[in-house]
Parts: sequence; structure tokens; C-alpha cells
Amino acid sequence: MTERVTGGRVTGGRETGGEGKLGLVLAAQHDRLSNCVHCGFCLPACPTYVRLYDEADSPRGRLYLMGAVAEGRLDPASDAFQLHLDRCLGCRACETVCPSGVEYGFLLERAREVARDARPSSFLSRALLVAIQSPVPFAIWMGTSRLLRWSRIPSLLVRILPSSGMLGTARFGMAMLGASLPWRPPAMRVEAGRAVRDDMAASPATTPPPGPGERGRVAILTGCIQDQLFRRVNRATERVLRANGWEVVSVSGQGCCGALHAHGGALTDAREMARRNVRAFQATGVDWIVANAAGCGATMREYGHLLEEGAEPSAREHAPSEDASGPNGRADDERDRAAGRWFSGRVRDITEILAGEGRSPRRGAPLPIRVAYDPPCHLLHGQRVRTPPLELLGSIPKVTVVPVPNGDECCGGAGIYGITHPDLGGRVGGDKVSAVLGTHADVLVTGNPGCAMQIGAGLRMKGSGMQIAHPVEILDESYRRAGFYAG
Amino acid sequence: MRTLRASADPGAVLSQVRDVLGTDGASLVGASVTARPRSDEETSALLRVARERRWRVLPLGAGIAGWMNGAEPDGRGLDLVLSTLAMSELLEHEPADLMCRVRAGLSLAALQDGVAPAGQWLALDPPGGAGVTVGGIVATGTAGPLQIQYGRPRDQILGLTLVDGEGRILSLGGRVVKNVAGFDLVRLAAGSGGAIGVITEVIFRLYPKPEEDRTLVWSWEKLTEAWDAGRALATLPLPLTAAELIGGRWAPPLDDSGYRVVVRLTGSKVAVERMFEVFMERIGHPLRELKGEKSRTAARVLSEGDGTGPLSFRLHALASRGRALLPPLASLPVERLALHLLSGTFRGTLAQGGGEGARTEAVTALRAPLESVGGTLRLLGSAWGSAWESGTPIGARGRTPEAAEAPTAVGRLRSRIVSGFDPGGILPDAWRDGLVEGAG
Amino acid sequence: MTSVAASAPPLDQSLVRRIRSVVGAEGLFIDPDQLLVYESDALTQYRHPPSAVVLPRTTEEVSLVLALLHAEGRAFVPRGAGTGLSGGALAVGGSVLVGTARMNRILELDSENRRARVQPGVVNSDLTRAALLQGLIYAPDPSSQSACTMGGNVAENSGGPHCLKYGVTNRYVTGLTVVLPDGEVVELGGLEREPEGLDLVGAFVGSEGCFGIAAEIELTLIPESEGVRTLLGIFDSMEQAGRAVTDIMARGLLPAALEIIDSETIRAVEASIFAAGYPTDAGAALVVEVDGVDAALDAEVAIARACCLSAGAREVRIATNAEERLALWRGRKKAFGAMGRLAPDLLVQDATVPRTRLPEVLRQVGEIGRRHGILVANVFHAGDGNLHPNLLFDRRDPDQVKKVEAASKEIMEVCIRAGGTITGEHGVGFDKRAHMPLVCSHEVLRAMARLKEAFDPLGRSNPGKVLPDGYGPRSGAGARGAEVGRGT
Repeated sequence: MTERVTGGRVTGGRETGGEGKLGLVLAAQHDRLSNCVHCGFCLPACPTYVRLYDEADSPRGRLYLMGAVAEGRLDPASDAFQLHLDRCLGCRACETVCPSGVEYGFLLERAREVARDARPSSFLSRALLVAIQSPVPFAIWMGTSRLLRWSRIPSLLVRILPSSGMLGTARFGMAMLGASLPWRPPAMRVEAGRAVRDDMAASPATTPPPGPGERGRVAILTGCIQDQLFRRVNRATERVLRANGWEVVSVSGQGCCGALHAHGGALTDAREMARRNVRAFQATGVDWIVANAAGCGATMREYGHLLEEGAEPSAREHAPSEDASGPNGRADDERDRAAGRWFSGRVRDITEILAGEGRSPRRGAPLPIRVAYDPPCHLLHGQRVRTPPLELLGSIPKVTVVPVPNGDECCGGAGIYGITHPDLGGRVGGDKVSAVLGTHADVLVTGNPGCAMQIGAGLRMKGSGMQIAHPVEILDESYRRAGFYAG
Repeated sequence: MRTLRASADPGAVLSQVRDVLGTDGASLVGASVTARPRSDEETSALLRVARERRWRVLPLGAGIAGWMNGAEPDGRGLDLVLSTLAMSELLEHEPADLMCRVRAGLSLAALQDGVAPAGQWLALDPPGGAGVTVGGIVATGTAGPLQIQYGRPRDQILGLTLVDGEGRILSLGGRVVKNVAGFDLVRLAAGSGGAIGVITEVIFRLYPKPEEDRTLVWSWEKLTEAWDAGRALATLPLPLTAAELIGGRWAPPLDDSGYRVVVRLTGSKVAVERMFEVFMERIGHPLRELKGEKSRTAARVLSEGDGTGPLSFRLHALASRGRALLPPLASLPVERLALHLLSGTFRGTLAQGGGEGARTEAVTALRAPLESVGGTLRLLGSAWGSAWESGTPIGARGRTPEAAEAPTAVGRLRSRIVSGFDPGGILPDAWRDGLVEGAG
Repeated sequence: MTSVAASAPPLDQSLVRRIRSVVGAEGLFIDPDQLLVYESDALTQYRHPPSAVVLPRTTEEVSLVLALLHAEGRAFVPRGAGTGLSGGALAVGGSVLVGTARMNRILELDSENRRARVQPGVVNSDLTRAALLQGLIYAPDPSSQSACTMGGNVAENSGGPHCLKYGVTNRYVTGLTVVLPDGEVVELGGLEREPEGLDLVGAFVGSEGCFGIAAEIELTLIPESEGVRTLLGIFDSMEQAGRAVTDIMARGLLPAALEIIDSETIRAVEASIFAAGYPTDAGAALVVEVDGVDAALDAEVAIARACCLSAGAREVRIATNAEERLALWRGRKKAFGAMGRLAPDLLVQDATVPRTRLPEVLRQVGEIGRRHGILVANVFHAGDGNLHPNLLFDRRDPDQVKKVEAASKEIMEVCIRAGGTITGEHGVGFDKRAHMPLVCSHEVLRAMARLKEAFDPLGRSNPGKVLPDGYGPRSGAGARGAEVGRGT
């Protein structure tokens, strides 16, 4: 079945890897792969390694397997390659600790493309990706979900369904759905109005409100699931940006960012989505493209790479449809590449626009709550955005921010991982939920819908009533109470 | 276990040694022959002859720790004393590299005098004082009060030359601070008590002499009070140079009465002053301050003052459990007592007089608490008589029982190691403990 | 340089079953594809895939596993996190790899006696993190401390930047529970007993996995320093930096660390994403760190600064807080990774020379690099003379590989002529075993072989390491899977 080196000779197996076209995708990444000096610093940072203790389930090990495929001594259809790459959460915590700056996330996506070409991925993960991409089924799925989550059915199912097997997956899905419900801010006390004014008057940070649009023009990626289940976050983002003096331009023709597809190795699909978004946003000529879902932001920052490579012949072999995408394919490619670079350079997380590097958002009304902040991996590791969310939350009067212990570790959500790997994802998620519960916070704050639903589902299954919110939702509530939206 | 070998005729030994070393290379001292080789080659040749004749050889420096190797004071029970005293040169001192190379017979005092002009010193203060030889320090591996800051002798050795029981000259380690080229035979030799060979040369790591040297002394009436206060002081997060609790009769400047906690601080003037302030803040109890030369004298008294007398003993337990040993210690007729406040090693010397009965009683008094805290007792002096045989289930004559009896896994391991270096069984571990029974 | 060894036969079914019954299904891997990731440690020049990987959880499991392997005549190789740089964890001849990754519990933190007892898979910096809660630290800090394990530290006798003042691993290991190669468990040393007789703990530390597996480790902890100060000196030439080091030591200071990085390395770091703000036209940068009683440190920093300036430093930066300290260290700590980006492959040398010989040795190292046309970048522990010349190359070019091998050997020879040794902290492992005769006489090598034989009479523990061919245990040749594949 497999091909590998024994006794210095290549033995057995059919023609694969470097000699076949599959390995070429990885062989083309030789320079990126060889940046890994095999030092092992990534091992303790990897959520799967510190639970399975198998180096094949560590970043270094996975890179080594990729290298073996590139060298043609490992069959990409082999159990080892398929299993260990599939098990990666894609959290990219390894990139943060890597002294050699290995672009692990980038390589993982290419490796997964090779893996899924060699052997089809599971029905469940394919179905989920297809569903997200197809407008009609997606609309039906999401519409049903929105109706369902307001009913008592999800919480009932969470109570009665078993915790393992197919039904366990269904139970988890229901819990996730339940976790997507909006947070309920604490009721304003009767004298709150006065307290608000007092506090704001006393604050030296009170400044006259910025004029409309004086900071610049921005556009928001509304996303797919975000737009369907978390539209309130998009609205809050818009309001908060306006309150801080940004002009928010609406962008038609945008769609899903393609993050889940890229993570799963469906790069052709991801590229197609990237092109659509690049074209849609480029037309607006905004200063910044704002993402409020960490996973989307991380992927959008990499559109440049994605489209750059999309024009390479080796990759195009797998995407014959693209060759026919226009009468002047080559010129289109060049335009796409330039546009992709422009786009990636403009992407910012909402918290970076509002806070960080000495800036802080306009000060709103006090909100006496205790929030636990858990950084999404694709913000912390994928985009290297560590402090702005904390600074944003810290700027809201009376909000107490507590860190989640070992918060740098993934929540186990990892896109659709929680659903496709209930076991391992469950172990990672279980540890995160325990850590979150240990903070005794009123609200868990995190800037990514997948993380919110994963952690929220875990909390619900443990019977906790802890609320879940996006950072801008907290700021938005503070602004609402301050009357910034009154006029 | 132990098979007594018939002694060789001293006269024959003397003439055979003189064949190798020349007439002035050997003499008859007491009942045995003392040989004084002058080089590695002579040492090697001598040990080859000893191996051939199956002599029982005792390597010896100044002889201060001779009891450790089980030799009787009059030299009975062995055939040849191999003295290192004819190899006593300070061969090399490289101040810029903080390193010196010396022969094993050099005394600690001579070494310190040799490197002092460059403002450097060897940070070791083993029991027995400055008269002990370099080879003796390394072979016994014993550490004094300085160990809490500088570690044991093994931590100061960069390299050494060992002539093993087959006469093979092994130049081990090197002259650099970090060296992991191969298995660590230097560590094996340091503290081996001559079991695997005779140490003839040592390369030491040196330190710059500290700018400031200060010793603080507090006195208490009761041992437990002194212990509790001393432990509290010694476990402060400060880089102390020494922390001891002493009792009994000590030479000036440590001749106060009662139980005394002695803390030594060294380093830059500012650092020592700051540590001094911390102590003043923490402890209201009156203290005596010894500065500069007086502090160095106190340090010398501490290291010389005990541990080598004819009725000396050593107890060891985890420092946190040391308190359980205090009541019996306080009731013993001790001449001197010194407790390391951090390492849990207690050294003492029993007062002379009182006869065998008193000695046996003393040992018995220490047994019960020692067993309860899992520590070890070693009777080190030559005058214990039958006390150690009748009353020491825990340790005897500087050896713990499992070293002498070899059925345990560790014992077998030791025995395999020793026989690799001394297949003829001529070195002390082999002929005393029967570790290499039947070999050769 | 790349060598690929012959695989040993796979484990037979009954042995697989018996090992599984000890360690569970998650503790044994036998899929050859999966085992590929274990064929190298952090030295990737050599590839020796193991015939199986076993991950025991307790001392008892280690003992049972080794006894099973012993009964079947199979050799084994211990492995921690695989961060070693000398190929010490290579499964030469297809040995069974016994990993300590699942043995990662801190068994006891005893602040009263300032000691810890840990399993070998505990990560170095995790121990210090746990000890810090009680104001204590574990002193040795190898550069890989965030990943490397205590079992590996014991096996390699690891050093680190701060061992100039605090000493290396063997100063801190006070006791060991060792599983001998036949599965027998022995307790060595321990703070509860007075050290006496043969120092078996000292002999085991640094034995590179050749004497068995340390299944429990007792360590001494020390109090955290009250204060720490870091200073960076920028020099026009390496000679100036070297003079500053000599001056600092001559003034009686004993800094916690004295690290130099050379001009090539500075340029590599500054060109990488880890740019630390060192001037790229500098000839050398010196990091000095002093620690101890806080009140005394400003005076020590002043002395170190004066030494740098009088040696000709063009600039001295002093960190005033933790963040600035990290920034000053960044150029040193990230050097290895940054160089990883200059060339596909890099070989790190680890020779050590007496401190005073550093300038002359560095000059010769530079000449050797130029003569062979190999880019050599130096980072080193200047205080203790431990050099880390990094030879940059591309292994796909056989000509370069040959040049690197030749240059590497010449560097070692230069260091030995200067009174040094071939390895200061990375160990001999597989990589430098052939060079052992450069520093050890035939008799010393034989003595080492006898010591090995006392622990491992059949040569089953980590075969093919440390000692050159011809110095192994006599009866080792009979072990299945212990035949040593020759690197080419």
C-alpha cells in the first residue's frame, strides 16, 4: 500500500508522491518545508500532541509526513498521512512558538489538498462544505436553524440525547445551536442613568464624539454563518464603528470567505470564493476591510498567497475549470494576484481597528460585568492579534476582564472539527470548558463564531448558564446604555 | 562475605616496591610499606606490580581521612600504602581562565596560597582543614559549609588523572567548564574513595575572591530554638555562602556559649550590605558581626573544627526532618556539633572519656529517631571501638550496609563497575568490602 | 551525510500483544509510515526509523517493557521530546523507541528541602513554572527549555546560557530511579541519604541513554533571584567583544550569562521576522546578564558597561524592564531559527575551548569556513568558551555536504588543539562518536566501555551511540536489531 525508504532504497508501492502529480503540490513547497529545522519547540504548544503524545500528531511530525510525501517516500493515501493530517486542529499555535517562522497553516492547507485528492474525506465534512457553498441548501439549513434555536427543542435534545455516537454528534450540534443565541446583558438599575452620567463626567477620557466618517472608510465582511446566525454581531460591529467615527460602506456581491474550505484542503473552491470577495471589496476602495470572525480574518489575510498560487500550473492541474474561467485567463490571473495582495494588506480584525497601539475606543457607559476573554486561535496565532481585544474590553467602564487559564490553547472547535472529531475535539473542548467555568465570569467573550458555539455548547452540556458574546457586543451594549445610538 | 587474604611479607613488599621506585621511593611505616611514586608512570608501574602480587593497596594523601578507607591506625590489614605526597606541584594556574592544574599530593592550603595572588580561590572547605590534600578531597568527595553555594568537590573539577587498578593511566575530562564528550568518569572517580584507582592530578575551576566577606552569629540557649531560627534564616531566598548551627567548644572567633547560628555572606559590598539589612529586618535577636579577615577565620574554624576526631560521627537526613534528631543530639556528651541548615548533614564529635559503654549508649540514642526519619549515621573516628559493631544497624565505618553486602541491585551494579577498573581486587573497596570476590 | 539505516524486523505479534497489555493500545505504534516521524531527532542529517514506538506511563511500565524487550533480545532507544542536536535519540539499527512523553507528572515539589521529584517526560520550563509558585527555580536552562524534557536533560547533562554561574544539569540531579536494560529497577542517590562511595548518579547523568532509562528524577531547586539586569553591548569587532568578556571576568563579576553573536548571525537575525534591532554593520553583540541581590545589580551593570565601553563598544543598551530584557535577548534566542531561513540545512557545532583562546579560535573557524566556501555564523556562550558555529548548507548538493563535513572536523581539531573538547552540551550521540578518539585515548575509551558494560552488559540500551565502533560491550553484537548501520 505504501511507499517508503527501507535500507536506503525505495521499495514497494505504486507510483505516488514526488513522482506522481499529488506530491508535486508539496514538492513545490520545498523551501517552506525546509524552514522547519525539526527543533521540536512546537510539541508542547500542540493540543493534539499534549493529549496523544504521538509525534505524528505534532506539528513537527505532520511537517515531516508532508516532507516524506514531497520526497516521494510516503503515499498520500496512506493511513498515516490521512489520519495525522486530519487530526490537526489547524489552530496554528505552533506558528507562534516556531523560531524558524514555518508557515504551518499554509502548508497544512496544501497537504490537505493532496490528502483529499488521494482519498476522499469523510461524508460529513464533505457535506458540510458543500452545504456552506450552495446558496439554496445553505439558506434552508440556516433558516431552519434560526427557527429551531428559538424553540425549546435544542435544549430538550441536549438533555435527552446520548453523549456519544451519531446521536451524540447530533446532541453536540443542538448544543452549538443553542449557544448561538444572543447574550442577555444585565438589567440596567433604576439609577443607572445618573450613574452613567456621573461616571462619564468623571472620566478624563471623555472626548467629544468623532464626526461621521472622520477616521476613514471601512467595509465589513458579513460572512456566511456570521451573517445567518450572528447577524447581530455584524450590526453591532457597524454601530460601534460609526460611533467611533468610521464610515461603513456596504458591499454587495460578497460571500463566504472560504476559510473552512481552505482549512479542509478544498483550495480550488476557496480560491473561487476569494476571487469573488476580492472583486466585490476592491470596487469599494475602502481604507480597511474589517473582519469580526477570527477564522475569516486569518484566511482573508492570506488571499494574496492563495491567489498567487492559483495561477501556478501545478495547482491549476487540479482546477481545470479555472482555465476556462475567462477568455483572457492569464491577464485575469495577473489582475487577481495584484488584487489579492491589495486585499490581504487591507484586512484588519475589528478589535485592531478600535484598539491597540495606543488607541482605544470611545468610552461608553459602565457595564458592571465580569467577562472571561478566550482568544480565538485564528486571531492569536493566525493573525498575531493578542492585546487589542483585551484593550477594547478594558476600555469599557466597570467591566472586569479575567483571562481564561491556558487561554492560548485551542477550544477544540476548529471550524467543523468539533463535529468531525467528537472524541479528540471533545477532550480539547472539555479542558477549555473547565478552564472557562473556573473563571466564574458572567460572560465568555471570544471573537469567532466557531469558538463561541463550541465553548457555548460545552457550557450548555455541563448545565452552565454562562453567557457568550463577541467583544464588540459588549462595547455595543456599553454604547447603547450611554445613549450613543439615541439620535 | 569478606575473605581475608593472607598479608604479604612487609620486607618483600618493600624490596619489590624499591625495585620500581628506587630506595627513597618507599619505606616501612608501622606494619606496612609506604610507597611514594613521583609520577603517573611510577604510580602505574607500582600498581601493576601490586596487581600481579595481589597486594591490598591503600591510596593516601595527608592521611587525615585515612579512617574512611578502613585502615587501622597501625596499618594492619593492608600491604601497601600508596602516598601521593611526592606528587605535590601546582603545575599551572591560568587566572584568565579561572583554572588551575595541580598534582594530587598538593595540600589545599598550598593551592589556595598559590592562586591567591591573582585574587582567586578554590571554593572548597572540606572537613579536616587546609592540611588535606587535593587527592584526598577529591577521593573522599566530602563537602563543607560552602556546599550550599558552590556544591561539592565534584562540581569544581574540570578534569583529573586516574591510575586504575590495572595501572592504566586515564586522563579524564579536560580544562573547560562544559564538557560532555563521553561518559562521566570524572564524577565516578570523585568520591570513589580510591575504589577505581589512584587520583594523581586534578584540574580545578577557580572563583574570584569576593569583595566582601561577613559572618553573622546569633546565640540561643536551646538547640530547638536555634534550629527553628536558623532554618527560617537559611531558607530566605538569598544567596547565602554558608548557614550552620554549631554547639560545643569551638575555637575563636566562634567561641560563644550556647547554640549558635552562623551565616556567612560574601559578594560585592552592596550585596552583602543588603542581605545584612534583610537579616536585621527579619530577626530581632541580638547578633555578632564578623567582618573581613575575622569572617574568613570563622570560616576556617568551621571547616577545620570537627569531623575528623577519633570519636566523630556524621548524621544525614532531609533538612526538613532534622528537627526530630535534635533531642538525642542535645542529650549526647558532644565535644562539638555542626549542623548544615540546608543540606541536613550533621557532624559531631563525642567528648572523650566515658568508655565503650557511653559510646554504645550514644549510638543507641540516635538509632530510633534516625530510623523514623529515614536518615543515615556514620561513625568516622578511629576510637569507636566495638560501638559501631554492636550498635550501628544504620551505618558503620563510613559505609552503609548495602555497600558491604552486595545482594541488592545497586550493590551488584557497584560491584560490576569496580571490577571493571580493579579486576585484581587490590583497591580498598574490593579488599575491604569483598566487592570483587573471586576476581583476578 | 544523510544516512539511512536498515530497518530491524518488525515486532512479532505475541510481543506486540504483550507490550500492548502493559501500555495500552495508545502506547504502542507499529505502523511503519507513522514511525517515519521518529527517524530523526533535532539533527536531521541522519535517518534511522525505529521498529516500534512504546510510550509507558510509569516506572513499573518501563520496567515491564524493558524486561519484555530484554527477553526477546531487542535493543531500545530512549527518547524525550527529540530536541537533541547530536542524534542521540536515533533508533540506530531499528531499535525499539521507548518514549517518555506520557511520563510527564511532577511527582513532588518539596519547597522545604528545595527539591522536586519528576517523571522524565516533564518539560524543563514546566518544572520551573511550577516551582516558581513557591519562589524556586530549576536552574539549568537549555535553549530548548520550552520543549525539552528532564529525562533528556539528564541523559545529555544539558547546559544553557545561565550555566556560567549556576552550573549544568549534573549539579542539580540528586537522585534517580533507573530502569536497567534488563528491566531491573535501581534507586541511585537521593537527598535523604548522604552521598558516599561511587557517585552512580553522577555517572548516569550525561550517559546519553546508554545506561538504561531514568524513570524518576530527584532534583535540587534554588531560590529565584531577587533581581536581574540585562545589558547589550554592540561592538565593531569580535576582538573587542572578547576583550570585554575577559575584562568583566577579571573584575571579579560572575554574570549569570555572557553570550556573543557574530556579524553573520546579527545580519541573519535582522533579515528575519525576528529582527531584534541590532545594527547590521556591527561586528559582534554581547549580551550580559547579572542576577542576585537586587540592590547590588546596578553597581554590577555599571562595571559591565564600563568594561564594554573601554573595550571599544560603540553602544551599550541596558534593559530596564522585562519586556526590554526579552528584546535584548531576542537576537540571541532566535538566532538558531533565523539561520534556519538562510539555508535549507544547518549543522550546529558545539566545541568548547578555554575562554582565553576564544578570539584566536574564532579567527581560525572563520578561515576554515572561507577556505571551504561555507558560510559559518557564530553564536556562543562566551563565559564558558562554548562555541556554536552554525555551518549553513543545502544537503541536496553533495559537494556542499562534503565541504561541511570536512570543515566541521577541522573546527573540532582546532578547538582540541586550543585545549578544548568536541562537545560542551549537545552530547556525542551518533554524530560525533567517530570523533571521540580526538579527545579520548584508547584506554579512556575502553574505560568508558567498561562503565557502559556494568550498566548494560548486553549492549541493548541505545546501541551505536557515544563510543566509536569497536568499543561496545563485548556481547552486544548478538542483540537483534542492535547491529549498527553505518552512516555514509
